[in-house]
Amino acid sequence: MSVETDRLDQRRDHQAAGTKGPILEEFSYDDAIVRMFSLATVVWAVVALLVGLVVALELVLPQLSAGLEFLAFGRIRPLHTNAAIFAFAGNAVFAAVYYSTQRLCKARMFSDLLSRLHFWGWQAIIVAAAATLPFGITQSKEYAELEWPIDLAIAVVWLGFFGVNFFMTLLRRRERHLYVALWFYIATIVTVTVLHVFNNLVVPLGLFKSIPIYAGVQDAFMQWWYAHNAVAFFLTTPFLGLMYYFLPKAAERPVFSYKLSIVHFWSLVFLYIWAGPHHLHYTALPEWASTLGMVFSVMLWMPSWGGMINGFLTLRGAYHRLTTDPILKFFVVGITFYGMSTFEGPMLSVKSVNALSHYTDWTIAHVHGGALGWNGFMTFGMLYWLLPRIFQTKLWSTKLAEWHFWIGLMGILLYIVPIYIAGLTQGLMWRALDSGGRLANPDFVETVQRLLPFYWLRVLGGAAYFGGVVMLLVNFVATWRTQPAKYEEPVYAAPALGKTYAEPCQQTPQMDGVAPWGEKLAGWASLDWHRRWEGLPVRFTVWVVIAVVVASLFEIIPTFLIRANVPTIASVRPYTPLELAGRDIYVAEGCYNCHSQMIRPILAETKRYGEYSKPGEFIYDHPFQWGSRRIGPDLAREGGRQSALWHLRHFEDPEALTPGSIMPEYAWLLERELNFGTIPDRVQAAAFLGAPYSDEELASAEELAREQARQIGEEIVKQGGPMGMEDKMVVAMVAYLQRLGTDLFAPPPGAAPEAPPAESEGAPTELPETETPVAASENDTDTAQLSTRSSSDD
Amino acid sequence: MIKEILTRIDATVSAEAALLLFFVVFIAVSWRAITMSRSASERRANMPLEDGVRRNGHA
Ligand code: HEC
Repeated sequence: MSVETDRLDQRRDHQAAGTKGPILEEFSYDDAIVRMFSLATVVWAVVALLVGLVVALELVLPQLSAGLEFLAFGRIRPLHTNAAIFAFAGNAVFAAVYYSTQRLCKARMFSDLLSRLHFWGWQAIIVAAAATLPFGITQSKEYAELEWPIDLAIAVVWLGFFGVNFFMTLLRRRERHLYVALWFYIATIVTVTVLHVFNNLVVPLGLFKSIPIYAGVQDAFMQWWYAHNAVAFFLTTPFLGLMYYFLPKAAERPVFSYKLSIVHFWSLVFLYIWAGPHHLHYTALPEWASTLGMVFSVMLWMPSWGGMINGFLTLRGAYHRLTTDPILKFFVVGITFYGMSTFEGPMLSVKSVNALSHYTDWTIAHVHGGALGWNGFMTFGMLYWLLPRIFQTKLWSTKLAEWHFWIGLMGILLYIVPIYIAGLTQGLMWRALDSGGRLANPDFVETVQRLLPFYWLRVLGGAAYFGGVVMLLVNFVATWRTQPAKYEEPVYAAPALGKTYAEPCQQTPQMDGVAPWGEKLAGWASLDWHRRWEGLPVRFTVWVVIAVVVASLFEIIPTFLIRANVPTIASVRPYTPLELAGRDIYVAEGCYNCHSQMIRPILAETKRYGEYSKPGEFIYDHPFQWGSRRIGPDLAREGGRQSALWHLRHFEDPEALTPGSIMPEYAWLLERELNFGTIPDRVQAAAFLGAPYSDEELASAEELAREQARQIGEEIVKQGGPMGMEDKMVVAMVAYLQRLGTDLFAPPPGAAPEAPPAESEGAPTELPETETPVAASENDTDTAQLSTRSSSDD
Repeated sequence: MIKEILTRIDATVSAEAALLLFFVVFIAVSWRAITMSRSASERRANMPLEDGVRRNGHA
């Protein structure tokens, strides 16, 4: 389009706004939907924190789950994280988006019906999460645990209801420019959709079970690309949008630097996407990807602090109100925690720091600084600002809000300080070597015991924070009750937008004696094309999509090429049918919430757990189970370390076998029957995804499973254990655990046995020198017999 | 054929290209922000404080 037509349009625009007065359109805002999302935010905050308190207590009082499977830590920790992220933070984001978008666009939401569908659909999804996770229905991917039918519902509600409603509102807006908060919302909606879809590509096995199409390294990579960017685009960008809108509102002054906010936005969107691999340092992920993740994470620090400074400086001149206004207090602390988390994040992504911090509680302290401080306090500040406005009354008690602030702040500190100490203690104890070069703390449980006082302080901190939220709930309900008998519905007026437009003050450089292409170049360089598409949501969105997708592809394509690059290990064979069944129980129980299966190439680690993990060992792992923390020891080379009976007794009562253990008891694994009938389908699905089973194996999967179960049952009896275990769930679990990490040392099919490539000195028992069994279907030797430390101690 | 090419590509190129791409984007965005006129940025910054002209009721 030429500059000339632009100018004409501009004149028309001005005429419309000129002497005759603009043609005004009248409209009102839908605040009822904001009231609904606000209430949901507070209610779910109470629930999420309550579940959080329970899981925190379970780590100090493991008997709290009382042997009830749906209360076990591995099952309800995902409930806590999902409730905090998607129920509490999610509803807060929606309240912010619905309130601010209407006002920034000078338009009511496109469809009241879509708004309601969005609200009720989202609450139904949360209820579905609460009704499935405690029952072991899970994909076992952190923050993407929900099974595929719920995932489909999320896609419909997020994009079909929320996304459509939001973008249609943008298209019908009466304000030419998209304020920066809206950019952040656009990035949120677009990116979360992309992340959600690609991380949840699964093969369904019935309504309640699915297997991801990715395996091992690829699956891990996709998962952490997702999880990292979920933090970025669910817990950061929408809250930045919230900050850029509600902070000026509360401070009653414009954002300090709009220009800085532009740089903040684009740098953040562009950098965040690449940083995911920092969750996988020293793992089987390729070196270049993890270095890329580190470099981009460190660079992220700049825009993040740009945003923080912008937030703080927006408050300049309003600081005197800080003493009397709890809203500003919440915002100041919220932004401070944003700054702290975004400094700490890049630091944790530096490999040498990560070597110490990864798998420890340090990460837990880090996320709680972010979640309780940044997400929580920004939400509370917004809610206290919103309450009088959406309920058209006065806040019931400013004093109570003030109390909420102080008890909440104390709660955060009481949570994170002890957990930082716990994390450091853990990391240092795990890596400590004595003067002889041996592990200083060879018994894992010693390190666990050392943490318990800090875990108790965390419970206290969590309780204080929870107390604060109860105060918010009280204040909310009390304010609500003083609402007017009938809400006033203010009518606003604004002119409709002309069809085309150019920046009124825009100057295109006038040049004489310059070649036409030079003039064009200068025109392009003045970047008014950018200003124009900034005013156009469609093109703006396209650019965000390009930024996100291009950046993702840069990482994902090479990672998928490593299918070719993952060195295959001849001796790594698919799981036997029974092991697959055991693995499914492992997934359903959420053992990954406490146990990693990824030994890093770090001296103290190979001493403790054995030879470090190789990418080729995970090619049949759908889903991967590398985990992200070690409340318990790594299990990547658990196979053969203990006897079958040891595992059985350990599941029955971990404390009895390992005094001081905080692992929950799984006694019902010894009582519940294993469903052999579903095994053939499960093996078929594994074969479909590339596991090379023979036709015989596929045809007789159930018999193979029963045979292996019978052997393990016999072995348990031989070791002095109970009879009749061969049809219980525990045999499947034992079969799986005994297989873990043994393939690497197994002779390749058809070759003579050879010595293992490396040995682990610090391990309680050494791996056998010869003949570690492969699949039981192939080899009659039983893994469990090879263990030494065993039933003799009970 | 394709597979051969793909395995031959050194993946580290991807990392370097990523870095380059970012710097190009960063410079373009910063340039655009810096060249934005003061009045334009002020108008945008004031948007949250101007929630429309009400037709009825009190402001
Ligand atoms: C609350 C966290 C937690 C959960 C959940 C958990 N564990 Fe543990 N686990 C531990 C701790 C702590 C230890 C170390 C103390 C001990 O031996 O009991 C441990 C030890 C173990 C060991 C012994 C390792 C060895 O050789 O010394 C095995 C095997 C094990 N867990 C398997 C499992 C399985 C399988 C599940 C899921 C059904 C599971 N754990 C769930 C915390 C947990």
